[in-house]
Amino acid sequence: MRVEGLTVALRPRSSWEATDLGFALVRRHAGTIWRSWVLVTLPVFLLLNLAGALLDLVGLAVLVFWWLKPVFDRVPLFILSRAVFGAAPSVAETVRAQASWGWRSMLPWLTWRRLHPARGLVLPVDLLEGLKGPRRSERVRVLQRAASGTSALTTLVAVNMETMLSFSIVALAVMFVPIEFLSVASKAVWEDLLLDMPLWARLLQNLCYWIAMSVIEPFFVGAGFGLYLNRRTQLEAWDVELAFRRLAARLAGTVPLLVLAAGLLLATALPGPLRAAEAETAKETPEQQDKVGGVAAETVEEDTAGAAPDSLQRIFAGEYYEGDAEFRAAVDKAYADPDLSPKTTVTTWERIAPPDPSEPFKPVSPSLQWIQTVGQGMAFVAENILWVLVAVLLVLIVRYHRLWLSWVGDRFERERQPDPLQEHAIALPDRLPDDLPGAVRTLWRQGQQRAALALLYRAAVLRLDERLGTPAPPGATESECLRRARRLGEDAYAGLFARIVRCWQAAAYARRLPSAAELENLLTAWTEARTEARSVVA
Amino acid sequence: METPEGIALRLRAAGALPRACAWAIDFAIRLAVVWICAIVLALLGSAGMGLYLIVLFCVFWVYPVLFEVLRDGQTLGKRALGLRVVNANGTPVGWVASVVRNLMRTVDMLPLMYGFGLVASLADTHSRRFGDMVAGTLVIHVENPHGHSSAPQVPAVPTPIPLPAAEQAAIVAFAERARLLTPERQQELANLLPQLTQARGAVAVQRLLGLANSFLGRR
Repeated sequence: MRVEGLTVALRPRSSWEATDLGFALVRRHAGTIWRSWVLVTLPVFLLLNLAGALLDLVGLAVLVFWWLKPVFDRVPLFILSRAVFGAAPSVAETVRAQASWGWRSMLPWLTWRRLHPARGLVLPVDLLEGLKGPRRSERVRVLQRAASGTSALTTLVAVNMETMLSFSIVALAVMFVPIEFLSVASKAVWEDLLLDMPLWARLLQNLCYWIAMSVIEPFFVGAGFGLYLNRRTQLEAWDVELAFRRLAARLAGTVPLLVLAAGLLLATALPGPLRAAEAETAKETPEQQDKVGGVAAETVEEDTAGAAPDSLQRIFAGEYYEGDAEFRAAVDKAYADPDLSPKTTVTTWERIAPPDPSEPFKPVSPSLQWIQTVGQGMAFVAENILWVLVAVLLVLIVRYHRLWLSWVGDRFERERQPDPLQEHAIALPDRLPDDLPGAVRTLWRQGQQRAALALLYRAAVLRLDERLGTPAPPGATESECLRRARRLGEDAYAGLFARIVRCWQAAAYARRLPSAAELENLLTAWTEARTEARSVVA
Repeated sequence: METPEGIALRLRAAGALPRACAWAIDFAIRLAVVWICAIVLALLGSAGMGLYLIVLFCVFWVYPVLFEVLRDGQTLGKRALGLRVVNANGTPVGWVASVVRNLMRTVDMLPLMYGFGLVASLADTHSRRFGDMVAGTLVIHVENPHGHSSAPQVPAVPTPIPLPAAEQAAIVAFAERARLLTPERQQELANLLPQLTQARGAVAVQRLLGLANSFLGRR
């Protein structure tokens, strides 16, 4: 064995990773493995099934085939164990090697070790190391110490995969049955194939198993080999050896002669002379016992259309003539004619009586009656919670329809017309009346509230101009006037002016008219401010 | 996989065997949950039936997505087996990818008990089932068999020749795993490096262990 020749990147792996390494190796050499596998297993499988068919022991054939698994395991193992060291054998080499390679350890593997849970891990020990007796058991114990659990699980999973896959193949066929024929087909399969399996179906079943096994078994062997390789890497530090050898070669600065020597060794280790093929033909039995025969005779029941002699006798009373046997046979034959009494099959859907919802759910025992009550209570609460949720959702939708359902909102908005404009012509007097409160009151009483307030506002602005000593700029808005009023500072009129402006704004823009009392307050304040100002001036 | 910083990350894709085991564990847990819920809810009549159906749906379709996204790509079964779902570039798996890969189980389940998924996983180089291919995810091994350095403590020996990092790592690996090797094998390995140890046999092993200690920064 030359560690330098290894074609896999060695590093310490966990056990599951080691099985993945084995899978990757199988995938890498898939072509050689499956070609050799089919060449070796298919003839054996066919021979066993032929013998089984002849002896009416088809079930036993697949059992024997399954029992021979360790023999077939040698095929992928032979390829992998050589490919790992860079000397992948060809299909021909592999098939030739099956005649001689590894038969020494096959006896225990086909008898008492056949059901060994860690077969994938231990089989390579026997086939590749060839130890005997106590040395072998010691070796197996060391190798199994950290990997037997994974190996046993691998076996278990592989068995399940194999079973599942062979069922899958059958189910795949069912998948291609159109759905309207499915019930008919499944009934036919159940009655004709499963209850009393014909020979071809049993052979087909065996074939499905062979396909499933052919898919899984090389991977199973690969996983076991990966575990074996990883365990040896752990025990013997192959990756360290490899790194050390490279380091030594670099330090020595020379090409090691070892490679050359190992190459010579390999050349002498080629497989030995070809041996005769397996003596499988011995199993063939010439005498052909016809046990398969005995086809069940199909009894064809005649379709006798039931004539109703009673009614005929009643109608024709004494004139009724029964007719002889020949005539009756002819009548029966005529009735049996499908043209005379045609049968049609009409398929209709009939409603099955629905389960009575009023029938209460029966608890397991009367003592558990309270649980039913609790359940009904929960159902009641849950149902009402659902209704509340629906209501909340509706409210939210209405509230946020502009946000969530903007396309709906737009449509509503477009349909909605703006409020009609209200225009009021304001008759502007050239000069303010002398008795302003009187004029305002008159207008108010006449029902022209807006005009009254407009007059008051106008007078207030003019008085502001008076107080400030400067005229208001043309087109000044209410808020500009308010800002100008701030210049009055502590003057009491500033507060009154603000009140008048607010009152006017509310009336002009929001149609909120002050009450008569509020207006009266304003006018009183107005007159007082006037007299105050006069007295100050005086 | 290489990060923008130029650090090489090794994603070790997990194969069908550990994944099948993880699935079996998950399945057993979910079956137990459903079973217990069924017993409790069966006593509640129609309301219980409704709740039971909700539980059934959640356990079989929401459980894997929630665990994969919120628990670092690991369902309970995957955690037990040391597996993790990641995006193909090694980043943590997101909602969309996880939902897609779990919805695709309906395809992988065909025709019976993950038949398609198994065959896809066996054939694919990265052991992906169809769901992984569509969602662009990978199931990888998390746990690193390298633990903390357990190299035996011996007096450090300075190296006679400066060595690059990879070769230092090999000598440290030898020291860490020396306890697992038989003394004969240790000496056999140490004898491969006479230029470095200037000795043979047990002395060479001790020199290598000393070198490893000096590489590890011990005094």
